[in-house]
Amino acid sequence: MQFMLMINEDESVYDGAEGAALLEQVLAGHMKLAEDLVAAGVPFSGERLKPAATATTIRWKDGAESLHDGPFAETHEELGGFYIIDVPGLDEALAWARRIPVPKGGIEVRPVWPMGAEG
Amino acid sequence: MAARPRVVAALAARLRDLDAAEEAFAEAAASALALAEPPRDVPAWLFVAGRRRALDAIRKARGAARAAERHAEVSDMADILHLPDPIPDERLRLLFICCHPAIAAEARAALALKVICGLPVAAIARLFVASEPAMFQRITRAKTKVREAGIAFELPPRRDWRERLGAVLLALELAFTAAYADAGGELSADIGEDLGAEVERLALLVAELLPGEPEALGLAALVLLARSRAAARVDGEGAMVPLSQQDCSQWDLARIGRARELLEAAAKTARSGPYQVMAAIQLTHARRAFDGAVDWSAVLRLYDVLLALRPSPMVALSRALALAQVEGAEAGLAVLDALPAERLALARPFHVARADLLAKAGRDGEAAAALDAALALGPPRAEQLWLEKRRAMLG
Repeated sequence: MQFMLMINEDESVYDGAEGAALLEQVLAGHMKLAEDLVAAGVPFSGERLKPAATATTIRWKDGAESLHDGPFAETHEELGGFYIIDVPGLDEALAWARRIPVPKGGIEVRPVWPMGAEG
Repeated sequence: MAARPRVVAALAARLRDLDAAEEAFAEAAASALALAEPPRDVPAWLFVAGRRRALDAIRKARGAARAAERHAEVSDMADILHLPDPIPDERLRLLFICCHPAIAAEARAALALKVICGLPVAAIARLFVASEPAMFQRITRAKTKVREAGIAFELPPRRDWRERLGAVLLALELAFTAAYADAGGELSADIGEDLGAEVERLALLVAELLPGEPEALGLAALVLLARSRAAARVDGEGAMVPLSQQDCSQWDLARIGRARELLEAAAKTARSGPYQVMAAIQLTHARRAFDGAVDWSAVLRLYDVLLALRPSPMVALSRALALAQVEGAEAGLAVLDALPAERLALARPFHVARADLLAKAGRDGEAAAALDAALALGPPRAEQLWLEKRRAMLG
């Protein structure tokens, strides 16, 4: 089954010169992870997102649309990227999620609603 | 209906859906009652009937054509006769699945009690001191999580057992608490099997699987010791007999011996824990069968350790009773009076303990009032009969 691994992290750790060095390490970690997923034959996709400051949110209230500058929820940790992987079950999804480099934050693991299923 | 846990666990393992398994069992049980003659092998009949009903439901939901193809192997009731082992024992597997760390910590043990032990939600809510609707919601949410989140229906690999062990042991402890409080067997009659025997079986199985986990051994020892007194706990009239007044010639020495071995094995790991201490307390009581007396100062020291490991008003209460044996009733009463009386107002053991010590201190009027308070809380029948006897003696 498919799982989305959502990387929620504190973007500010990548600020400054130290942050840039950290980012390089993290990106190298993602490259390694992608190689390992390929080697393990796990079908996957994933993207890195631009910072939350670049987000635009559309909301509807009482049928009226309004646009907001910023992400859907203002929190200390923003959605910074995601993977979608196809594995037998939650335990395998969690095992892969644990290998995603996240200096400060967490990973939300959620099953993807299967196409064609009812309910 | 007998054998519920085994049949529900087998259905759940097969259907990979906890709700569907419970519903299928309930329907199968209802149709078994409607039979003119009871089936020869009731559990096997329930398993096959439950499975067939569940698959019928799936077939209806998914559209006949696709499902008929997928479940073509399901034939009719006749296949009972040909199944070599019609109901695989899946209880242990299910216990570990219910205790998956992806399920909310406060829901794991509750889910296990519902699915594996078949405890009614009301009984589970009492064990967790929660309201029934809240507990119902907690269990429903956990079942949905198991069904939708991709939690595997396999026994996890051995390396993952430890992180689930805490919840597994808690579930067994609470199930046993419920079974033990049910001296008169009302709950067991309600769920259709001897809950205490079931918990003992599972606790021993867990101890056998994890011999290097001292707390697993401790819990198994605790259950064995409590069960060793089963024959002595209720008198001829169905009234509870408290531990100190039990005829220890009726205790099961084989169970006591086995518990002692488990505790010795646990001690070798040099990792103490609350279950081991609780079992050690019960073993100290069990020594009365050999020594003729209880070493109350040893009991008191063990309660001191338990209170540090797992502080709770209930442990403090038991410790106060041990203290009263060593230093006198007034010393015990002084400790009881210092406990949060408001929080304990609905706790029967609090009033029973107070009644005991007040009577020993010669304060009969107050003892009678404490017994009335305990009786007003609606104890199970065996305890009620015992409390009424004591109440009558106080006049």
